[in-house]
Amino acid sequence: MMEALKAINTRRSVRKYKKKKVPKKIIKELINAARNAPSSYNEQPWVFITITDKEKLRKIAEPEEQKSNFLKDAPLVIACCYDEKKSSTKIHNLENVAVAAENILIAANALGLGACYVTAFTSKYPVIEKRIRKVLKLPGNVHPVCLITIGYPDEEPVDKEMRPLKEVWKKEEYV
Amino acid sequence: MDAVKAVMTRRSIRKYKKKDVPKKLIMKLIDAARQAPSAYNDQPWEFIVVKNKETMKKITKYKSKFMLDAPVWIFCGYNKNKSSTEHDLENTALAIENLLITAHAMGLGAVYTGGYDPGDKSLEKAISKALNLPKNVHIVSIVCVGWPDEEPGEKEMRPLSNMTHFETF
Repeated sequence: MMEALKAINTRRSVRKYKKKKVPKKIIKELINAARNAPSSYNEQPWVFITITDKEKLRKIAEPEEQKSNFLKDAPLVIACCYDEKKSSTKIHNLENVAVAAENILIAANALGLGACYVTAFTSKYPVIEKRIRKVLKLPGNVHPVCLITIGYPDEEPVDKEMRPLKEVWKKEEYV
Repeated sequence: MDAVKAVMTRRSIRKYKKKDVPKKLIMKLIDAARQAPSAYNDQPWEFIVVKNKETMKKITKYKSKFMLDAPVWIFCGYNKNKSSTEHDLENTALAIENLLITAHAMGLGAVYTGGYDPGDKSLEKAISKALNLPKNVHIVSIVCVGWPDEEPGEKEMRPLSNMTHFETF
């Protein structure tokens, strides 16, 4: 049990994990948390694919960008996607999936896990999404938004530099 | 409130008591929002807190009327000048979910409403004007916040098994 504000405010990206597996019961709890997110017109356009197969992770992780190389060592990855067939508005799919993804990140922290949000698409390297599509056998109507790497933390995340509260909080008007 | 419980029991609240939300709690909401992860830790978000009914009226022309009864609106957006990626929408949405869960955990009710429509720019224009937004700031959502005056009904949910796939789709 971890208090909600603490779970939100202490969550940091964790990229190094112990070899210990994440039990299925916990995986289920993470996805249950995700699907409780709000979505436009309650369409719940999301789809979650859990990946533990090392071979698949290795194929996905072949890095154009070295920074996501840690992905192959995660005991669990959850690919968070949206299914455009479940969405009538089309315009808010990215947000809907991101909101659900944040629930996974918070629940993971509260359950003693570490996690990191890794984007699944970038126009600079379209090959990343193509590879994800191929490995996960996604049909054309299902679009990956992010891959969340999850495991028991094997690092203490360092304090991150944050924009001060007064810089991001405006009152009544922007200026 | 336990974190997992807060995530699981959060529901959209659209009816509010006439009671104000103290500044200290608003600060907690935004403090939680800004703890979200963002691509390259850009933290491109901006939060504009509005209690002024005149400002609200200018916007509800394009939105649902219930919103006028919310004591607080938090416009959540991103600042293109703070961003180095194409992931601003997701980054802001992650921050918004922190805000919604924190509101619920503190006994407040909130709802995420859309802040733009690519097919019809009139809402975006009205917001820009009312808030004096510079061109580089884009609103993603107007989050209404207040003390709940309704019990949210059970929402229909797609079953877990319908959206969970193992190893491949």
